[in-house]
Amino acid sequence: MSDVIARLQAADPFAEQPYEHADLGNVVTKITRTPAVASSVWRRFQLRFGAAVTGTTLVTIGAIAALQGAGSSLPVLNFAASATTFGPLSAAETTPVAASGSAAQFALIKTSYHLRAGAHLSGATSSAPAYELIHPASPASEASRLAKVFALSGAPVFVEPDVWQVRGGRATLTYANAPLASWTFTRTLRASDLTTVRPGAVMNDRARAQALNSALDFQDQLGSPIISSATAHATLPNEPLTFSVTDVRFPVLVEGARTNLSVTFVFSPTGILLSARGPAVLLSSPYTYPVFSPRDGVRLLNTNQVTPLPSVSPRSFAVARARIQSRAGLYATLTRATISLNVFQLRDGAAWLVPVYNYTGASYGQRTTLSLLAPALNFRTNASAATPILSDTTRPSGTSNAVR
Amino acid sequence: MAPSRDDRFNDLVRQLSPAIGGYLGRRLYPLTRADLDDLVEETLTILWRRLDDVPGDAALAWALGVARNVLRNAHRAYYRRHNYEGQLRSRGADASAEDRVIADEGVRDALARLSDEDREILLLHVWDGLNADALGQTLLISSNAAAVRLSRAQAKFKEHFNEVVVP
Repeated sequence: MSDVIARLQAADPFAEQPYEHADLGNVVTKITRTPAVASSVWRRFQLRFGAAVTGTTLVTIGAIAALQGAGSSLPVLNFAASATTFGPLSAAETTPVAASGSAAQFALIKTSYHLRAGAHLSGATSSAPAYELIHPASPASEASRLAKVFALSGAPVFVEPDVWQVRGGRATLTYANAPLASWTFTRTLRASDLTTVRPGAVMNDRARAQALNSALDFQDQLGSPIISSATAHATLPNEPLTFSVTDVRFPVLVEGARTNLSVTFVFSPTGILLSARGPAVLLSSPYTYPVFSPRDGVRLLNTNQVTPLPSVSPRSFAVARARIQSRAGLYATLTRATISLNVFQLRDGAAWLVPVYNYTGASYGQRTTLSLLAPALNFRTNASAATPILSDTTRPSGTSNAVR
Repeated sequence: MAPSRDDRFNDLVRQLSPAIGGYLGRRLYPLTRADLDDLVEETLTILWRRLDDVPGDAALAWALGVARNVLRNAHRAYYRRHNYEGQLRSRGADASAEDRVIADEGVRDALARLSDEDREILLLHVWDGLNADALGQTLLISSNAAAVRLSRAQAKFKEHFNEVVVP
């Protein structure tokens, strides 16, 4: 190999740190549970929101979730996920199978859940709010309003169905109405900018503080109800990866509840805002749905064994695998459940923030924390569900001001 | 006994995901690191759906061909969304995705002078480790054509490198 080619080889940015997916086991699990012909809508939804549940295992409760309770005025939420996507495992699939290869960092383990509710896990039913995510009444006006936050004053241009843009100089604000109303700001760097934003450049502490302040200012100006509910839990991951940018991320909270929505600002090492994105949705008034108890939720997870293995660290995986092989199943005790709100898309295209339980616990006596997500709404999974977990429904505490 | 479909996929993912992630990661721009895992996941999803089509002796080349298409689609979607088409400039005025991740200025400048086709085949060989046969599989051309194009790209790269680097 010539010296020149060797230099090119040495310039490979991934030569020193090969790519490694943070949660490959769950990705494999999700993919292999996906039917060969998946709904494109659901696929887009997975791509858009999948990252938000990294590190957890998402368990849905199956096909059409029909809300029980005659005379209820609560909307019936028909989740877009099909029965074939999230159907329970067949008996044959519950045989424990570990991944081949002793060095596996992940594994596709098909097993059955044997989840126990910890002694302190509540058995009391309760209620929790769900929200329909409402698109702004006028996409063009919303695009214009958002653009002004980023000092773009041009008129919004209709680009394609559901997409409007405002451009100014080298920056663009894009508002998209589907599948979830959202906005994206991007700025194209000049060639001269590239001389200052060099690969490998690291943002110093002062510039980092400025970035955080800038992000807070932007967030204040964005001002839609859902964003104003966010708290400034900004994270500044200093990733000297490909582009040496710094992300400032604001998790969106709704009435204090954690969601899987966020607003993100990306700055160059010199403090230039390179891009930003976030949701542009408004919230309906809350619909208060009955929620099954955390203890019953464990039972639901056991009877809807749709996810082979919760997240475990590679170190504890060998122990887990050995025990699964010997004990034919995943044994875990869930000791804590908290409720957060996750976005789900319905079959009619609407998006809702729906309460989900976040279970944590331990398995096999290891300190490893596992996390399971399950919709907390008191649904019946389908007509053949043997033991619906039901309680009386309540009327919504407010009415929707949906504009669609 | 032949491995099950799940076992084969599991093995392929373990073997190929670092290479797929590396391939996509080097060429992400203007997408960001936050998009990388999604692109890998999309590539693996196609791998799963078309598992029966994956050649046993050229799985890497096949997978990188899929990743290449996934990345192109993602870039197209990005540019369409941001209406960047009108802002794209010729080589030299702006940097390619690969250019932006290279710290070695001489290498970067020489690479920037290559055509898109020459740069792609050269980096698939040098960074992603594909030989002429695999290059042919990935780029959907014959092995001979790949070898010729690779040789030409290497020669051009060396020529440009010698022009931009002062001894």
